[in-house]
Amino acid sequence: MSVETEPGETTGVAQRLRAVPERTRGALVALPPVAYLAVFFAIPLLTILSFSVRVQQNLQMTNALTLDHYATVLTSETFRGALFYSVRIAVITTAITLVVGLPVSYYLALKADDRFRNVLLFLVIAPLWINFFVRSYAMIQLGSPQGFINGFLTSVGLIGEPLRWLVYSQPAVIFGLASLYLPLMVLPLYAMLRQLDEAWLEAAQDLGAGPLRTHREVTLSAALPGMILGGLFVFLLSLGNQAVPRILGGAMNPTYSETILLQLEGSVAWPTAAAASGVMMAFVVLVLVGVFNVFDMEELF
Amino acid sequence: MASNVTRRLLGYGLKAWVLAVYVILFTPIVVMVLFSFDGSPIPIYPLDNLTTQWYSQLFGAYYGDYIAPLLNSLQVALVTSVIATILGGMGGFAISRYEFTGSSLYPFVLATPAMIPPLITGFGMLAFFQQTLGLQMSKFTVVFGHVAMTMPFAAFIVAGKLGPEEELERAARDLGANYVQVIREVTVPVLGPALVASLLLTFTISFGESAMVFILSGSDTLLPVALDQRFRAGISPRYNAISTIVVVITFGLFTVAEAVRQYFGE
Repeated sequence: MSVETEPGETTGVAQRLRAVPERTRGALVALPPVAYLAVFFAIPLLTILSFSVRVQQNLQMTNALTLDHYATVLTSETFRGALFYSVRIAVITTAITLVVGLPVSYYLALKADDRFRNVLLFLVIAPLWINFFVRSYAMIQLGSPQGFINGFLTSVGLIGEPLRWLVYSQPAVIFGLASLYLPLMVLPLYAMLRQLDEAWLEAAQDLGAGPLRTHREVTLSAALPGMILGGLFVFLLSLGNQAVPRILGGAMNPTYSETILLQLEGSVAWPTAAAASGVMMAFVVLVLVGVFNVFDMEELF
Repeated sequence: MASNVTRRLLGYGLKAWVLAVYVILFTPIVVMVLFSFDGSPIPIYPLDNLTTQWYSQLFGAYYGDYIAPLLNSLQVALVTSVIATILGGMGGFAISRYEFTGSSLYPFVLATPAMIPPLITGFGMLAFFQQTLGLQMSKFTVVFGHVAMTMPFAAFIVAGKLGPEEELERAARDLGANYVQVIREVTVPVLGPALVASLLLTFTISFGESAMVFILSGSDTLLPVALDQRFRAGISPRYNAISTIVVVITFGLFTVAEAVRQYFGE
């Protein structure tokens, strides 16, 4: 039996790889990422969950089980207040990014000049990657009582007193989060609207629909999967973000994440922080399950 | 016709809306960059006495306060991006190419770290590393956290890029190329841009992340912790200068990523 010896053909490695069945090869490639996540993601989360149900004695976790930490979190005014505050901020931020982002995505997907489309898209996405602290600092500088906006408005005589609510306030936090996460709403909307055939819009108009009705019936339904996906991204990330409210919100209103972090910094109240994290994880899972139950993503795409 | 007028008004309204959004997104950053050249020791309106002294101070007397943490963060981001791209790349390859036990659930498993707030993952790692393993927290423990957090992005970039090329590989195999040849001649050229994009994206995410850094960095000072401390001490033009450097690095990387993506089409 003659073996062909073309260059690159039947090297030892190639033959051995070919001998491995396709399924096994797949599992071997798939394994390392999962193994990493098992050790550095799943075990840490399980560690917190186990802390959250164990009795702490002399700063050591014992093996006795308890639900007291959850009771502490769920009845504490601090945690409940922080959770409501975080959810409220996340909901408002999501709504704002949707209202602001939909026209932008529509413009980028259907109206923008082909030459500028990529640049415009780039400019929407790029700020997302700038460090939160840097961006929030930039907003503080712009909005603080001696900042650019107040300085300018005072010098042209539009206001006598500097506007104090521009920073260290709830509107400031929402503005910060909304401008941070706008790209996560715009990108999925853009992807959906790009697939929208302009012929449909024309057809709707030819059939007598006015521009408002056309957009309501055609554009909005085409954008729906993008709205859900973008909404999910923005909501979950705003809920978990700790840096932006820490800087832009001032000291009055700690978010849920900030409250957990404050517990950790004392490092005595770990079980409470663990239970609070457990509540947060349960909340995230509930939101995901809820959204995927109401909207069948496979069908939408 | 009334509907034509409405349409035109909507058209102008749309353009004005888009323009306003861009202005609002970029004004804070532009103002911050401009004021890094402001001469007065408190960067407030108006902008005058232009100077670059704040930048030279960063590299002089304030090196330890700003530049050393910046270098630490860049180091963490670099190591993170390499590990996350290797592991995530394997994940993406497995998603788009192979059937195996549990392969329908596999993408969801890889995506989960992106859905849990980094603060909580970070806390879990702190508990696991410190209490269970007895490790000392440092920039290396931050890398472990950032790899878990950024791996989904690497995996989905690679999976997205690989998906449609399967035909090409089958064609190459049908024409007599062996496994190694197919990988070398077809898969790697297709994969190359995806790997570059993944490196750049995971790098930028790690570079911008702060919650895990707060929890896991221990006695090493990374940029977010340094920025938080300096910020508490009050605003200073040096803060504008370091922020400008951060913006330039981020935009630079992002521009390269975008150029790579467009150069290879798509």
